[in-house]
Amino acid sequence: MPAGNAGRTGRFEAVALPHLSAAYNLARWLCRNEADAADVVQEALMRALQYFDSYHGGDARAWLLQIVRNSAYTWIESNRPAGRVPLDGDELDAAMLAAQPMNPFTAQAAAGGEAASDAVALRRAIAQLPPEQREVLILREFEDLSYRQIAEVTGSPIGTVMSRLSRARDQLAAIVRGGPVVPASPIMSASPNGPASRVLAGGAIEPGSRTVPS
Amino acid sequence: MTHDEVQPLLDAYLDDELDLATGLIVQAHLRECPQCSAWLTERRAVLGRVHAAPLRYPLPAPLEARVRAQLRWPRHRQALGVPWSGALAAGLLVAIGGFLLGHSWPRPPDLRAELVSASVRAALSAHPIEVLSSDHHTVKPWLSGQLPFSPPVPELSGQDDALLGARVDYLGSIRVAALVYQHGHHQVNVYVWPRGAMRAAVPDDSQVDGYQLLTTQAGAFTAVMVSDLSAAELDAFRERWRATATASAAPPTN
Repeated sequence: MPAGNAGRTGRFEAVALPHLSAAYNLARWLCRNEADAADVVQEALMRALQYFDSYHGGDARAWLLQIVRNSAYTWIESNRPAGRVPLDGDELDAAMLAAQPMNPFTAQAAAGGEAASDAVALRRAIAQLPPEQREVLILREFEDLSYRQIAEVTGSPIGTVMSRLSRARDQLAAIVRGGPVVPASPIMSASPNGPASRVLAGGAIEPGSRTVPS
Repeated sequence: MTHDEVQPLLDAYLDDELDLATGLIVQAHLRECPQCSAWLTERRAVLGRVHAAPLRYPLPAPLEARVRAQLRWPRHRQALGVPWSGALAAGLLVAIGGFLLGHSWPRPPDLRAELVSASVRAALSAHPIEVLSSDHHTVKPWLSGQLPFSPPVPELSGQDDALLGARVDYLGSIRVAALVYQHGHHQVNVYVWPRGAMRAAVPDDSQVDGYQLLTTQAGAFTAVMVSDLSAAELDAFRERWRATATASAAPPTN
């Protein structure tokens, strides 16, 4: 291939490939099965390479994850008729988790016992969250993204990110407590763009919550 | 700030996402509100268990390899997921398409492009090896059953090489044997056909898109090795392969 193209691909690889694990984890949680997630990651990386010229430095991980997320939803829409998204693998994964260590974490967990049994229940609970809550939770708890980064990736106001994260965590808290999953307590049901969104670090006043005098 | 106003901020407080002033207000409230501080303690415990549980899906190594290959040879990707018969046709189209779309090979697409294309396609495929065996007594009869000739299948055992198996590929309008070897972390595809059976010119030793192509003759057969090994390593491999193949070569059956 022409030298210019090879150089561009090389630069792209240096920027994007360090985040391939994060890309796969997000795709895997959104698609809820391995084969679809692999297709989505491949598709997203090709798309990212195509749009690489529009990447002007900045947070490469958030940039890539945004493309992965959009690819995942496009993929799900065009390849799975509504209501026919298979929950494949989740039960299987849970069984495998219990049966054999997949990685050092699992091995550690098996020794402790508690984390492994948590994992089965938590994995199922996360898989059953509505996608808009699931993606926020994955990006925060597993990828350690800031609220602002999550807002960029998901294209939502920060206040919305915050309330979705709280609701997702409420569900997990209910699982860990071992009780039935209850809806968020009334006290937590602040509106997404309520007062909360105006007090976030970084002067986070997003368009959705701005009061426009008429 | 009242209790009801503080409560929705606790997650953001825990994540250190509040601005300094609001953070201090929440902190002050927590000191005097047992309900909020108990809530925060429980939340931390829950998240601790979420983080301790193995919930992240590890990146499958084959996917990483596929992504890397696909970035380097974007056109080849189209053959993915296509049924095998279609993949052959698609692969040929792809090889030509790749040429038209800016691969600046000096000559028209020749056997070299097809050879690299076949190697990459095999690496991308879920079944790069059709007969999986390190025993030439298994591989050779299988190939003889698939092909109008019986190619040499040197095992190269006892050295740093291992025979992984073989498949049948379609190159230059004939069916050829593709032997797959492992050398260190690299794979070597060795394409073998009877000398003179292919109309296309046998390629010179060359490099295409980072792949080395080295040609040799063993008895009545032509062999081309394709690998991402360095030229020197592949050259040494070729010598070992040729020596073993010539020593054990049986005359072709046709």
